[in-house]
Amino acid sequence: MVAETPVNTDWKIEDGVVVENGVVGPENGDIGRVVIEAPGVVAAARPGHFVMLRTWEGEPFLPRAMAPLSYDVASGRMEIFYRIKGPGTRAIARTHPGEIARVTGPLGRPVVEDFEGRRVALVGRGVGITPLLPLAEHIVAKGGEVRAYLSARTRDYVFGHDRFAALGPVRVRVDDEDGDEALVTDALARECEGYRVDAVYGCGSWRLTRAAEALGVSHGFPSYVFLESKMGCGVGYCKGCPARLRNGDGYKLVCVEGPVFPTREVELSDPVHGPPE
Amino acid sequence: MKAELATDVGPLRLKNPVMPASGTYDWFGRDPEQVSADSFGAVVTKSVTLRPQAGNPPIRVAETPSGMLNAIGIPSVGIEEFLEEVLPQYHALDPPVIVSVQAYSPRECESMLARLSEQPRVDAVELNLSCPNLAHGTITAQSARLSAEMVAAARGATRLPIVAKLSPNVTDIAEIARAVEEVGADALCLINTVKGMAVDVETRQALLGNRSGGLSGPAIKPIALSMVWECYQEVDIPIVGVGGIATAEDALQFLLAGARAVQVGTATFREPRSLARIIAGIEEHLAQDGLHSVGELVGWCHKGRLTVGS
Repeated sequence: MVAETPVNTDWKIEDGVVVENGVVGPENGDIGRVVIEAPGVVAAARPGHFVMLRTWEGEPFLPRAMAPLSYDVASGRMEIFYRIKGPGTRAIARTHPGEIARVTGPLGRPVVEDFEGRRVALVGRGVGITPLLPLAEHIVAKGGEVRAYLSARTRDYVFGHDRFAALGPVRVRVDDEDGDEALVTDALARECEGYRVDAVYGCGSWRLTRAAEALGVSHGFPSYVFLESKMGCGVGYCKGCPARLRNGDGYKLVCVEGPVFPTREVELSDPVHGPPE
Repeated sequence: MKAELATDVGPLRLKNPVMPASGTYDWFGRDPEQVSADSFGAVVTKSVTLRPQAGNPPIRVAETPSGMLNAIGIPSVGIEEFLEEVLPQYHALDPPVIVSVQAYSPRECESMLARLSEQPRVDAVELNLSCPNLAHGTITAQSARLSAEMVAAARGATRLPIVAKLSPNVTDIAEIARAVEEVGADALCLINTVKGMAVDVETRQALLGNRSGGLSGPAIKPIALSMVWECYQEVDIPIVGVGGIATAEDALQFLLAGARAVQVGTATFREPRSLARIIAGIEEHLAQDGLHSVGELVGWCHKGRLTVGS
């Protein structure tokens, strides 16, 4: 279990400030967007990184793991989309501009592949779209090409659409217009014919990531997944965020050995709801 | 005058009374800028087992009111890889190193302690007699006889100080404490997590992969305090108090109840700088009260009320 590369200990704890916070889309929706100014963490963040966030004192006891959509070094701000579903995200939703947001980060292992001349497909759904944008920006900055395949319940939740579109072609499938049987990876499947893809990264949907992986297998490119997990600490201390390895070969920790893994290493199924149907 | 933070836990001399609880801090060869293991009273490793084991399936953690449940299940590289790859990294650290040991039988305990005794940088061992998350069934520390057998085996195999970590999931903690004291434990560590469970309404199943887990955090502090208090009266060996300590005031409460040192666990997950803050807070409190050393506070509860002029 000794890591092949050193565990990331280059994180800091920073008292950031909430700059903007509100619900995205319909007013009674369950997706929030918060902008936090935390220049130290923002300056150090790389694609693949995540942060632990706590905007409250007292309860709930633990901070929450979040993968920002963007880090803006000039303003020192990060933009986070979060699904409001438990006491932690409800507490974030109650936060007002000017209040303190304690941020620990950047955490995890960044994506450090060489992207020059590489053509990368990004497949994301819902809040799982967000960690793909820093990666997309990085790939383009390094001389690669990106195509984004984005899926969501409604158009309101295709986060960062225009910013992906500024970097390369974007395909979108939304449940309320296209039906939830239409997989955005069908578009990727079509485009794989006649367009060389060198790698695919998936996040936010087991179904889509499995479909992307299958395309990778048939067309001979590697696939990667950004995993989410319940976490105690986010920094490698608690061992509470195992990713199940394929072939029953034990676990890796999402926080310090991930959050990005080659799909051939980890099981692509929800730990709560069990293996894929 | 600066108050003396140093404390003794049996034969172990600590520069201050605050250390991480096993499995809640890890030395990766270096620390982040804002955390320094060199400031700790001691460093305690994650429990090591004789043979490698993977730990429990997800979900391993669940938040609760004022704390959390964990069912980590002690992922371990096994004692041999631990000695070769993990322990040498601890040579860089200044505080005493306490290796936490999880043995499934007295024989395993004996062989692990024999190996650890040969190591120059092991200053003490903590016997984890009380992990509630293992598939093997019994918690050793639920039986005075099993606990005594394990500690006796350890005692026969090493001259290192032995700290026995006990379980709160018992009817009479003092009975277990006396049993391990009798066979040569140098200190007690009180308490491990309290057995608990979470249920997921959506799946209608136990939330944790191992079904039940161990409750930690501020929620269990009163339980831990009462067990420290009780054992202080029942045994002569020193006590390391642990359970829900998140602030210097919490730590002081444990010292007053009879602990000579404390461990901080779950609070580190919320705030990785917790240990440093607690150490500083204790020092500040001693100075404010005009005390010369931590030792003056230990067990004060048992001496009766502090009255003006006393």
